[in-house]
Amino acid sequence: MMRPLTESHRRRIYGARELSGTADEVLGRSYDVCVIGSGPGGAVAAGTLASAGLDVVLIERGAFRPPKDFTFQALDMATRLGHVELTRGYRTALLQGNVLGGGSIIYGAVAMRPPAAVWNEWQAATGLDDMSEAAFEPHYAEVGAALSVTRQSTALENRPNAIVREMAHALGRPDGLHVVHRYTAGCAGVGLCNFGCAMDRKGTMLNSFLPMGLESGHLTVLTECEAEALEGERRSGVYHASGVRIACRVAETGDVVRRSVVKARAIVAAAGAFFTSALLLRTRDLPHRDRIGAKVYLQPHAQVFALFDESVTQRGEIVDERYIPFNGVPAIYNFLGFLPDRQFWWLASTLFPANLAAFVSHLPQADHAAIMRRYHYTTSVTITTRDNPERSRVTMDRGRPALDFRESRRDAEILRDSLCCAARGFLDVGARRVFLPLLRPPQIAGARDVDAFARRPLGYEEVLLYSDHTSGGTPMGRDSRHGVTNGDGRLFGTANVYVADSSLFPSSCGANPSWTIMALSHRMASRLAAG
Amino acid sequence: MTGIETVLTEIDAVGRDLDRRTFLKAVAAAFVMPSGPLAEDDERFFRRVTATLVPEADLRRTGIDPVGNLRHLLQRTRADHRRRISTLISAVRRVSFFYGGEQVVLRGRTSRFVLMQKASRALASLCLLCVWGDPRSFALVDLPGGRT
Repeated sequence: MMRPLTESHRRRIYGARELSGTADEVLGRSYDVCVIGSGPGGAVAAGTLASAGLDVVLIERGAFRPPKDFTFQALDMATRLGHVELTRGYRTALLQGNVLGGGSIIYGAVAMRPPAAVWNEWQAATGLDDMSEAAFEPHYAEVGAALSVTRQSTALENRPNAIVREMAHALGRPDGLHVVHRYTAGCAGVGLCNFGCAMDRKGTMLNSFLPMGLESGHLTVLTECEAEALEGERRSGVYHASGVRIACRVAETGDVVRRSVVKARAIVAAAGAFFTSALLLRTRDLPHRDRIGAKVYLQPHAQVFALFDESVTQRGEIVDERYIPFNGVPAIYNFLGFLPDRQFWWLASTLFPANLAAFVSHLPQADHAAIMRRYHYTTSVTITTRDNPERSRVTMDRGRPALDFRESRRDAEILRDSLCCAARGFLDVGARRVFLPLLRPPQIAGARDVDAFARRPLGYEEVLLYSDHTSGGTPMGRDSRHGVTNGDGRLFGTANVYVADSSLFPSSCGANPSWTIMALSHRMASRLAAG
Repeated sequence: MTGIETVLTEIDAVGRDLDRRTFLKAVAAAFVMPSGPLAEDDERFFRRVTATLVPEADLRRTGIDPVGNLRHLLQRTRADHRRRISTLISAVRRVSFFYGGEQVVLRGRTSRFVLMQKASRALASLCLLCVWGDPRSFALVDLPGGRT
């Protein structure tokens, strides 16, 4: 059930400019809990804790953008909502939301759970008996209801999704085709979830846990506030946090207009795997610092485009001088046929011309123009690979975080295998050409081209990869030998520092992670609220 | 999340990285990295680079002004993005003479520097976003329904 964000809710959302002036009643008092990050981890924690009656302050680096600010236009939305880092060696881009609501504003709204094999792996790695899907079931149900998790209807199948279905059959793994659940009960079918849903039909933190918390009257939201480090001290070997040092930065100008410390009796870090580790590493006197951010997983994504003889997408409509594609529900199916044994899966991509234009930008001008003319005859799948990097550690360089990253040989093989499978699948269902996401992609027009590509070595640096599934860094465990945080998400060696995002994952989750992040966060917050 | 990232991640991430990496120091130590708004030289360079990617006739026919769209994008975006995008354009312009001037977006891909490969693709993506992100570009697209 989605909840609207009302005017009275908005009065408790502060921006940097408001905090620069007369907001001492907000910054000058102490809270029960300070939550850092407003994405699926942070907002669920904040909403759950506030609803339980705790006095909660939520800190978000990005600004508040209501859905009426979203336009579905690439030029408007392209660089407004996200934040990107690049791993050392320029191998992979790390993307996360940088707006109130975090990644939920720009995610594709696909609700997935890790496969059974991953839960078994997690239980063994953590040594925690309650690290099982069954134990998390009530939390999945609770957050699922709040975000209207709904199984999509195959009656809504559009041509890009039909191609995904046909590929599953052509590749001999029809059983791997799964109808997805999404955070929407009434998708309008624009097909550009990643620009922010201007229709407000997508379940996000802005229409679920944030209004829930604000409705309770116990939640205060500070936007355009960067959490720099925790404040606290060690007593008898245990770290006690007393607050969070923040910088209030105006999004439009980048100017810092105020620095302060938000005081709280407990801290919940939910800034995403990369920034949660960075925040903790910037904090002095924190125990187990050498293990924080030590192993981060990317689950990188790669797009593969294909050109067909028949049109795949429909003409959109011009509404108020804006082009709205109405491509249909972007993902009806998830193709999981190769996940158990080959560690990758895919679904139909969001489609818009600038995406294709950039993707084939290696082509000479005339070829590029010819492909663009055939935009409606192209489609794409987005592959996600389950990774286990050789090296992937968050490090600090003069106060700035970086991800020292190197994929394993196995990860590179999985990636190449996934690209070959997608290319073969497209060709098998009638694609005339396939475009791979390489800086200098080979021409793929037949099976022989794929075979040739399959024989060549491949490193991540050659591939246009991005990750918005970053996880790990403060994994859960029964004790400090098994993890960095305990089963409640509390950092070992601390009295009151908790983590509530994908940093808790012991390894890649083998699924779109948002639902599991929310379930973890909900459990952590429920236990914290229960004392 | 799918789609948009392939257009934008490199623009943003490479622009950020150009601020801090030693690559440009090695290639063009004499240059000072700019941080202010887009200079006229950069706008002219951006227009020339776009012309290597999109036929001039297509731009005339649709009335799309890539530089105008770039300004629109910069105006709408956050300060940190604005700085990174400006840095990207300026930095690539300053090393472009090694790669055939405005041909840098194609030739830069064969550079032995991975950052240059990614920076040239990022600039190409940005140019193309400023053309194909404009709804008028649909005038260049064949109507769906037919067969090749």
